[in-house]
Amino acid sequence: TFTRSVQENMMKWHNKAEENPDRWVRLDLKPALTKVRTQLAEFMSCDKDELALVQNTTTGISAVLRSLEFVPGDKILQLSTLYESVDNTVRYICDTHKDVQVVEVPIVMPLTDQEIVFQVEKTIQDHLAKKDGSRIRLAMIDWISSVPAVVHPIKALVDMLKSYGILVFVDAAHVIGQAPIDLTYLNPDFLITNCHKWLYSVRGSAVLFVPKRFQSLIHPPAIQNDYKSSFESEFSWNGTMDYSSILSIEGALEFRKQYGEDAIIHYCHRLAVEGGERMAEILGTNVLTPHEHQVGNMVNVRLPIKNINHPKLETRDYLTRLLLDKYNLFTPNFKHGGYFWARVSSQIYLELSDFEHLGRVWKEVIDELNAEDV
Amino acid sequence: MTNAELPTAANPGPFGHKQRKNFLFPENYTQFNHGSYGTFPKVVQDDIRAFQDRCEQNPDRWNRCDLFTYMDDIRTQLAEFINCDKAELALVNNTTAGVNTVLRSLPFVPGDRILVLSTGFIAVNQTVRYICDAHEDVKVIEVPVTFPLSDKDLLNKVEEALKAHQELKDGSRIKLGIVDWISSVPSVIHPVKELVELLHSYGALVYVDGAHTIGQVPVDLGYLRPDFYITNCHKWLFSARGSALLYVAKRHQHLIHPISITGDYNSGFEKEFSFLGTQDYSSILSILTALKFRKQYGEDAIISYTHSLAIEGGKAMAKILGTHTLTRDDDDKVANMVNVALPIKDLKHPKANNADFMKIMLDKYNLYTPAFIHGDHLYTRVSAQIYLELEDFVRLANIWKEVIEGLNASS
Repeated sequence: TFTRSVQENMMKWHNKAEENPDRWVRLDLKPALTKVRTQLAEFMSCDKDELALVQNTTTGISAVLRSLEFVPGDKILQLSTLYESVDNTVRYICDTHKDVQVVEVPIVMPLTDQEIVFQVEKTIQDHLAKKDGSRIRLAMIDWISSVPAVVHPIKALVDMLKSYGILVFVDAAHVIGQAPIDLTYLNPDFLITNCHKWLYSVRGSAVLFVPKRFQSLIHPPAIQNDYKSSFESEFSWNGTMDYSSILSIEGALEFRKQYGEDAIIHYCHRLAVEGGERMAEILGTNVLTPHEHQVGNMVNVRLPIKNINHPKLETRDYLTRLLLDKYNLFTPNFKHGGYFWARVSSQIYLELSDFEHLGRVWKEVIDELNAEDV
Repeated sequence: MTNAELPTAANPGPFGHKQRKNFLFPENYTQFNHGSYGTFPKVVQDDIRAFQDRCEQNPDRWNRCDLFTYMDDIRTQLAEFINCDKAELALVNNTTAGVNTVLRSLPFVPGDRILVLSTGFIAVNQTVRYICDAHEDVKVIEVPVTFPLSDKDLLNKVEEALKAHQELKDGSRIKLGIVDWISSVPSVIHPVKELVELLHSYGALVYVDGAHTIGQVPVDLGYLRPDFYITNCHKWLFSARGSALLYVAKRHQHLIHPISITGDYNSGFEKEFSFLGTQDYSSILSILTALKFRKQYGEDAIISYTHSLAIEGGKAMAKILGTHTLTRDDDDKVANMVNVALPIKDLKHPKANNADFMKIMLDKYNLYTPAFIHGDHLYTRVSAQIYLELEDFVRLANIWKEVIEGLNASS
């Protein structure tokens, strides 16, 4: 969600367009977008010309994957905990190319950083040992995964993968605003992050990082007038649409500057850790991740369901409706490693008492399910 | 209303300057180029804000439950509006997305050819170029078109190209033809039903680029029967920018996937296109309010007025400028957009280009109409709308007269 000040910022852009749509689209829009890229480049320690503003992670993933020229024998490595639409995009690439396949690294938390790196490296070495002429071309790696939410040892993973000659696409959907990003330090081959998740901009604002060495290969999912003129022009116009979501990034950065990134991140992280512990206490359970640094602002708390195959857990519908209609709140809930978890996001507008309330709500919900004779 | 009662340029009825208060225009601004980026009434903006507020009250409830009810309702209403099956419709952000959705999904093989007209929209022809670059031995066949051209002559030109390709006997086949229904610059209504039938008769699939159609001309897909069709609601329907409608005939749906693959890959066309990833859906939802706004007057009334104004306005402008409209007396070829020739003496004048004209128009006169060279003339394209009247066209003509005379003097 976003602040009132960001909403005002978005409306300012929205109104400006209607004052003179031709002037807006033909003259003023691109400089405004470039200004946002410049601000983000400073924020993320990279060159503004290595950034492209897109609507969301789904778009950024498709842009790169649908542009790369995969050949028979190419393999794409992914972790089993990757986001569903990323998994689907990789599957789509495999479906539409001859002999391009997935190599999946099974990830079952709890794992330490070293264990995660080890699992990935072992998978690579097992593949190399096959000597079947295929090669792992690209790896899709979460920086902070979605469900379960885990902060991965991203620098170690990027370095290790690159040492094997594998291109690395970092899915940092959840990162900007939740953890500091330094692209000069990390140096991935591709990276995508959503500003509308943790940065407080409006939905439909994300940023794709493509270093100069790959830019000639990468085109947007929707080809437009500027095809083949340059990476910057190709990605500067996504067809006629409302750009005020993307431009609201400016308002979001302004809001956050009042407090500073360190202050925001510190508060949210501490609250996630302590809130998670408090909830686990109330539920009589535990949190998923063995180490605190594996939690950013999102904590996974185990739900004490007796029967993990309870029919009401088969789809998301029952719990979604119950949480929204009866309790007017929602947290994603999911099975992982044989247990059932809730993922809770801390934020600057929450306090410990909110986590306690949530813990009691979930206890009530699970107690009810456990009482059912199934 | 009978035809005799429908509003016209001479008898605007509920239309004309009195409509300005329904829109968001500043006092000193007149929109003569609705065709490029459209605009929307205040009530549409109010509902956009209302949808946005509703989303923030509970983003999970909105994005996981309620949003889909509205998206579904839009498709139901639009299916009725354009006479097709709702299950063949998908909401997308714009024509560029819709064209790429189909072209980047179709399994082109070596020997496939794609037919386009030279007057096709630049982004569309660039996408075709990309497809040719990204596939082995897939090539474009471009039919050179210069207006004015009668329907019969246009169809003949296209058929000539189809026949010429057949004569090659080189094992290649025309897989797909992409045709404008109403082209952009110049803006001309094409004989689209005949074009669809002609291309089908040669075994080609047809993608109708109807970017400019919904809200500008009646659309009946049950009659037209294209394989694919795209139209922008944010052009002539009065919804907000970023709202377009893609039609994919059922027989092709198994091939077509969104340009950004989501969680619903391989779940069926309707499901796959039901969610475009996280974005602000209020532009798409604004289609509902746009339809409601238009219902007050009725499509017939709106189309009658804007078409009549384009014709009369074009005539008036041509008279003042001492020139002609591209389509001359062919009123059937004009919907709401009219191309008026500008009396430039030297077509090669260095300042006779759209970028330079735009600077003058915006900075000095606070208005804009696109200028382009086509055939042997320089034209400007003017968009009629319910908030304009004949005197606006007269004023515009005098401004262009001043601008062109200035250039003619400076040769």
